[in-house]
Amino acid sequence: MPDDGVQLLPGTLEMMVLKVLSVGEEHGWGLGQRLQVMSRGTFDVNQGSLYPALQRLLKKGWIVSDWRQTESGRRARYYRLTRTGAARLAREQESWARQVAAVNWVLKWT
Amino acid sequence: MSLLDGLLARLRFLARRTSSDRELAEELEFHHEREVTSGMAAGLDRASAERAARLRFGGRVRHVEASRDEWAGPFAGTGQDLRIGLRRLRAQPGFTAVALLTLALGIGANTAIFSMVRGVLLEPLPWPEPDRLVMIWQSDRDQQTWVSFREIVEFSRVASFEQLGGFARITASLVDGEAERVHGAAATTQALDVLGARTVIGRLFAAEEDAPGRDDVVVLGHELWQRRFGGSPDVLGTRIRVTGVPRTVVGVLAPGFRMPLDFRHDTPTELIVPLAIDRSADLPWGDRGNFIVARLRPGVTPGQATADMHAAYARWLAAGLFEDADGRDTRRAFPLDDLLLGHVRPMLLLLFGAVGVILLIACANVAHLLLARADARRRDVAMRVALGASRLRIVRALLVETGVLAALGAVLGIAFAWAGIRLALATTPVHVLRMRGVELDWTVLGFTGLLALATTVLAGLAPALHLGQTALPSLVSSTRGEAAPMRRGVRRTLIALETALSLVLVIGAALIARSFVELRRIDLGFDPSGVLTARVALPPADYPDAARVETFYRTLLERLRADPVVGTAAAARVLPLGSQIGDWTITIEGRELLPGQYPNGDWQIVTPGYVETMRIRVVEGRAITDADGSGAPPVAMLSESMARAYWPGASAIGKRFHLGTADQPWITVVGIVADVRHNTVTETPRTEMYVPHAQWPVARGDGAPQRAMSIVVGARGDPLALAPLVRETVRALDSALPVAEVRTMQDIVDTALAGPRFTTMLLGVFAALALMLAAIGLYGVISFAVSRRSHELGIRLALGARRSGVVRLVMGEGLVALALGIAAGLVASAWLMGLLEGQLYEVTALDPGVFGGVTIVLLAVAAVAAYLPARRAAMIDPIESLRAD
Repeated sequence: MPDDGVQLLPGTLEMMVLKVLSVGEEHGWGLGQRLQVMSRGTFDVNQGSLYPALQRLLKKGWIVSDWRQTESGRRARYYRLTRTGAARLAREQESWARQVAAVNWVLKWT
Repeated sequence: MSLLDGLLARLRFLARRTSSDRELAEELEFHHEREVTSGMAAGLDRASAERAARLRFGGRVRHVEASRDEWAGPFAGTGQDLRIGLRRLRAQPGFTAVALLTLALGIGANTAIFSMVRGVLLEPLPWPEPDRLVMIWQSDRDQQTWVSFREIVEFSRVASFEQLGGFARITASLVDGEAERVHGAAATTQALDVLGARTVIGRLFAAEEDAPGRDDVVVLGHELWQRRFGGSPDVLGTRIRVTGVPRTVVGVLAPGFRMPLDFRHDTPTELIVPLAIDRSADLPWGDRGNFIVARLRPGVTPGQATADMHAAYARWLAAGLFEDADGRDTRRAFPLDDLLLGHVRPMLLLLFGAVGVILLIACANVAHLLLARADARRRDVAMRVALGASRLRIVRALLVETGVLAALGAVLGIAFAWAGIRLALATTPVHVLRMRGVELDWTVLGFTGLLALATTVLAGLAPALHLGQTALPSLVSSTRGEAAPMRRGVRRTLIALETALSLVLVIGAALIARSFVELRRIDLGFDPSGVLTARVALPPADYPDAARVETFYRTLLERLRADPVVGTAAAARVLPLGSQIGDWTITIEGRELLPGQYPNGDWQIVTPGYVETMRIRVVEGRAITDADGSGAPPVAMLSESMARAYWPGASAIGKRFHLGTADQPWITVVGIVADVRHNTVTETPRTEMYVPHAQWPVARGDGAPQRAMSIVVGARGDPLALAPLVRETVRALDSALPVAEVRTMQDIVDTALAGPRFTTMLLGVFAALALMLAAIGLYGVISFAVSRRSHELGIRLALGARRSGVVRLVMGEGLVALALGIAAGLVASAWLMGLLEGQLYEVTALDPGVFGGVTIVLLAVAAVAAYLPARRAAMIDPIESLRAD
């Protein structure tokens, strides 16, 4: 069973997690769902990648977490973007756009 | 800021590590539940939804670990590995004991030898800039060479030397209070300057105290000051009698000060008097009795200094300062470092190499044991891999376990080393080893730590990597049967390596041992057994003339001989192998002196009874008797070599010669005695002449008697039992006279062979150790193979294989590796033993007897080690082995 529907470039999962969280706070499972939906089913993120990625982001201080009740009354851990995280996301997005443009350019011309 | 954040977050994580684990677990549980719920919402029943979720899920433990590892860096869980490692070691006491002991022996031997290498070779010599210090030495003999006052004065002007001074080793009697004999030095102020001497109180000699008449001063050694004068500063300015001469104490040396030749003797310099030179007089060139120590100018090599000296000799010769070079052109400036450590260095490096080999063998052995255990743990490891443990984690766990083993081995090894060093230093008569502080300090312990680390990697890495490669199928596959072929290859390599290493070591030890046997077999020319020796020096103040000196020794020997347990008693100026003898120029009757030829002989002075006591063979003529007294015509005995050198092809008996080149009285040769090894055991016999003590003042020409003599007493029983008698007899004659150096002649001879004996003994121990470890290794490997294959062997036996066939089968496996190891070991030995050449006497480095003999011994030991488990294999009960497992 492959971990992800498509092989992710290193660092992109973190970037997407930040993006999803920029919309609002979310718990791990919800994040996975949203990623799958938002990528139109391309990324089926395994928790084996997701949770370590969340820990990495926590460690870097780009996100924070706290435990709260879900709508169904169950305790869940919600993640939220920090200000550093938001700044980081902006930078990542910009550099990503440049990379993609450059790669596309190359692919088109050669 | 984000760095600080990260750090804080990490610290928080560490602080609540367990709660964080719990959180992760809970989070994952939540995730799982949501998966199930969404599965059920899609129309699955609960069981199917659970199953689908779990499939998507993978190993939960692994996710927790992976998430946690994000925080913890690569060393997380090491503490756990450590605890598990210790528990595992405790659970298998047999394995642990064998592995621990093996490592402790290997590490201990290395620690002990390294402490010697460090203390003796790596510590700088105790003088400032020791690499610029030289002594002037005769290059054709590696011996202490005496120089004349004149040479000390003239050489000071040679440009290569920044500073140069003369010194002599003296023995002094202290009589104020309890009589005591101590070793000391007479030294010029320049010599003390070259050596960087410092005082703790008082001063060194002033320049004018270097001249005769003003030299009645003395500087005390620190140790002597503490011992004899209670460390009191009041000692300054007091007058003490040093060998009868009153001298003013002007200073006390700093502790630990050493004269250069101290390291060749057991006793350090305890006091220093000026070496007075009358620089205004026309000093003779030939009157030698001192040493030179010099500091080279910066950048000048000893070779340049030697060339400079030779040029100076040529100049002085041309200027007619003396008529003949007289062997002076063979003098060289030798670095002090070479002189003091030259013969110790190869010995220690040899031992260092040997213990290195032992450690390698020990590592190989432990690697075996770990491999065997790794095999037994394959299922366990496969299980862990299946559950999601990373290979790094598994390799690390095993390395940590090996590390624990190595660390414990190092601790035990340090204890071994400590005991070993104590024992070695207490028994070694190698002065340099004893004089230079050999101890377990932090540097040595640091080295031991590095060894433990290296051991961990050497012994643990291969088995750990092996285990790390354990594939999932091994969980399913049978636990019995043959070890994987690759692993068997590793084991064979280890056996071959161990065999080769131990063969090299044992061959080296056997060569050194054979050489030692040859050394022992050398005919010394005398028989040391049953002889007691003691040294007495008569102070000139109490014994001003020859008659009194002669009377003292005659009376002393008569009284000693009168005792029923004393067989014979005599005295000699210097004892063979006890102290160095030097030569005196002679003139042969009726022979013109040819340029470049200076007949000479080592001057030995003896009383009647000497050759009898020492059992030196009289080859021709007669020995000296009581009839050869002071009034009788001077006579002498010659060594065979001397007779042959100066009267070749004819008998020397009845021929005449005299000492020196002036007109001293003629001496008639009355006897020829066998050559005696005097300065070293391995020297080519020297020309030696024996002049009667009573006639010496006359023969010498100036009437000066020989006051310091060594007494030799032939005992009918244990020679040491005579010690009190000798002391009392001397005291009865002169109560103020100290008796020094009371020891047996055998002890003196043993000391002369101390270096080779020390090396032989240690190498022998190490070789035995290597052989034992190799045998244990082989035994272990074959035992293990047998236990792994008991099922297969059981089938073979059940199918009718003969028991002898099984023995052959099992042994055969080890023997191939053994044969390879022996071949490699022989090749390596042939290549390496050339390094031993300088250490061997009368044995070639490729001695076929040694190579062959050692190979046979090794084969025999290996055969036994392999046969024991093989026999056990043959005793396997087929039914039991098939039923087992």
